[in-house]
Amino acid sequence: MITANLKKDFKKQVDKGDTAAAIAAKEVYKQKKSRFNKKSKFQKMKAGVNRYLPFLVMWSMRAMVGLQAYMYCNAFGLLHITWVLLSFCLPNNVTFFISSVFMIPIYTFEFCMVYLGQSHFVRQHAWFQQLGGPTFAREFKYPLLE
Amino acid sequence: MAGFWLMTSATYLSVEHEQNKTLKDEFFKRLLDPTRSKLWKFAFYLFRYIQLLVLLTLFLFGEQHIDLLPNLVYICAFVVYTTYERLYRKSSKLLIVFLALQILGQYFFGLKYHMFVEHPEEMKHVAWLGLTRCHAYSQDNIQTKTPKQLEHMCSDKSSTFYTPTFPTWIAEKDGKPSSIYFRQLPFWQDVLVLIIMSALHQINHFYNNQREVTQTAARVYDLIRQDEESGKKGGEKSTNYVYVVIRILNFLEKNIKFVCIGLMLYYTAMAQTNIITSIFFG
Repeated sequence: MITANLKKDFKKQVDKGDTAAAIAAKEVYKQKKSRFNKKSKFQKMKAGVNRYLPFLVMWSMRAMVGLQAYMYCNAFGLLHITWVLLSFCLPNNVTFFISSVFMIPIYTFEFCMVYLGQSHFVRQHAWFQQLGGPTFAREFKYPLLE
Repeated sequence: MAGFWLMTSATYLSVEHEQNKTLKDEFFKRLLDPTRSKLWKFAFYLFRYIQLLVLLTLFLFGEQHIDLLPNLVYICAFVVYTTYERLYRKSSKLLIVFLALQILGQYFFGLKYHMFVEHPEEMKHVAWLGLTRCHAYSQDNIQTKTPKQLEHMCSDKSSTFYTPTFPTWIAEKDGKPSSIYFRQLPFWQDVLVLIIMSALHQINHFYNNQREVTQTAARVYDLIRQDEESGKKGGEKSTNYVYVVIRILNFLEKNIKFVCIGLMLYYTAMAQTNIITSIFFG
């Protein structure tokens, strides 16, 4: 709408024969148009990212979770590598669904247990032992990284 | 965790943009666009039979250790999928599933090796399944040998492809893991083959529709030929090497039976002349 009005304004100035005003209107029109073009470029980029984002997210998560599985070789590592391998075998939509429904709660639980396992007070409680606490209550070998 | 939250948003995006279809559309769009590089057209011809090259490579690497299950599977896959291309188009996922099971088995073996190392017979089965590259990991050896001695026992100098990975749990003397960090090293070859198979499966989606592929191949060939002819009319010396390569590939595709007969005659000439080889090659 704005560019259309500017274009009309420019035509009016040309019809009137006011050259200076016409040039000024043209400049304003050009500036506005370039701004709109920039916006459309951004929109195009956004559409492109949206199109390939699932693909990128999937591969980056495969790499990260796979590395984590080999870094921490325990029962949860087996679960992590199972997810990585399932992501190769199952269709993408199913993998995304599994990740959203199962992996986020599992990761949350794992994170909480590792965090609580650092506390000497929590480690002594029976409920922590029953939830498999000793698996998580470990000293960090790479504390900065972890 | 953040990655998994990203996956939640990607779930909706994947519904909107079906990944296999998106990649296929983008590839075909670039393929039929005359302004795009000719390499896209070349890639179309190359990708069509790339699975044969990959399977042939695996076949050649696995030939030295044919008594292992993974190598047997690669050899069978090469023979069957070379013979029946349409079967490959429908069942390429089987190889991914097989490799996924292999890697999962290797990881499980890394966690529960105590269940196997005390029984040499079981260790032989584990080695045959490809879950470990060495069956010298008996409990006695772990207790008595040093890690370097075990590494020497397990190293096979004749093969560079299947150099055995040396697990870090060898240093554990009391049977308890001293550390959970990097206890089981992955077999990088299997991980690499899994990624390649996954890429091949993705490429396979481009060629699932036989009719569409035949029509596209004809259109691509016409585009390249037109390009070549317009270049010649302009008096320029032809530098369209893609045209030459594709003509060779087309020739091979149409006359592959003659290539096979030629190879057969060559092997007949090279093989020992007796009644068995005559019947086999006849």
